[in-house]
Amino acid sequence: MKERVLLVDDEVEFLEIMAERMRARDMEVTTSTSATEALSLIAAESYDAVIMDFMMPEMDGIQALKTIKEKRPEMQIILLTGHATVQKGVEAMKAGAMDFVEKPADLDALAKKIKKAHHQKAVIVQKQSQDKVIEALRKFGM
Amino acid sequence: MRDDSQAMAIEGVRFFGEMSASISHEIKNVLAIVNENAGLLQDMVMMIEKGMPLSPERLSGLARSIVRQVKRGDRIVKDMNRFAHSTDHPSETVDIGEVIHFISVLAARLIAMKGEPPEIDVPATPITAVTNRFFLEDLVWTCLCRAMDARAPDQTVCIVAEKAGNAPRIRFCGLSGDCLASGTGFPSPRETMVAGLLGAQLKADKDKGEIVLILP
Repeated sequence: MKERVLLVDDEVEFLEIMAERMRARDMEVTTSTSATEALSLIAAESYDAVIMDFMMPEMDGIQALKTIKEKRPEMQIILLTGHATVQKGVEAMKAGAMDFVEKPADLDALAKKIKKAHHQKAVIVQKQSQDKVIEALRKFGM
Repeated sequence: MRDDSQAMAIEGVRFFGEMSASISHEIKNVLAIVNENAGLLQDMVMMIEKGMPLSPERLSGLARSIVRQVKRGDRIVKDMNRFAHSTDHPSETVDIGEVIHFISVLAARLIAMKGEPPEIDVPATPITAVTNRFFLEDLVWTCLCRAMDARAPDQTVCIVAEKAGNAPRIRFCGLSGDCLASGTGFPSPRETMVAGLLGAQLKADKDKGEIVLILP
């Protein structure tokens, strides 16, 4: 099954080339140039991994990350940034990021992280389904 | 070092650090695009080895993209160098409009993160002041941040450079009066200190919705 990726960055050229290379690696890629647009896409579609820049117009990466995690806790978020400080990395991981990658990134290494995201999301979705069943059974006194 | 000199040194390093971090982010973005172009070229080589055809136009597009990014990187580094030289002279004749434009370009990403870019209104004839360029850049940036944060709904922040009598003046307009009212902490001790260093006056006019910086 193809990994579904949402790639968010305000650098259009970066988005286009990265998306082309990911598609060549058999991933299903959607691109967005703003965090606001990405949040709308996330509300309507499910992705295994959201890869986004840390510094974007309108909303910074940490703020967008927190909003996504509130709405779709199963989605795995990888922050991609030119601003890699230990402090920012810790902040991102605490806010629920799966990983924190420095630009320029090695796509093959990133592809491995996306596969891991796909697996982690599947585990969370399965757990969410099990919890729903248990909750339903409880309601019926079972 | 006297207490105020120490505070000034700390403020100078803080501002330099903030701008340097933003510039390095821009350089990283350029490198990331060049890196992706190189990666795509490697992918294409693998496709050729597997016998897949390659369009010369596609290769030409990649070369154009790399050239574009090299030019962009060169512009960023030139601006960075110009910013570094802001500290060269304790006092010099400075074109106020040029400083406003320069800070808007240098901090374009930080500005974009705060919302719509400001409009800049400077006269054709340069307005000059004899001042410290580096700390004027610092104060213009600080006021611009204040203005972006205090922007009135549905308004664009406008930076106006003009003369008030003989004094050069910069107005940051289009702000919400409520955000400038007393008790909002404007000007902060840091802003007061930098304005004091330049011998400038820094005021908020909540009725007009603007921050006014008057230089000596």
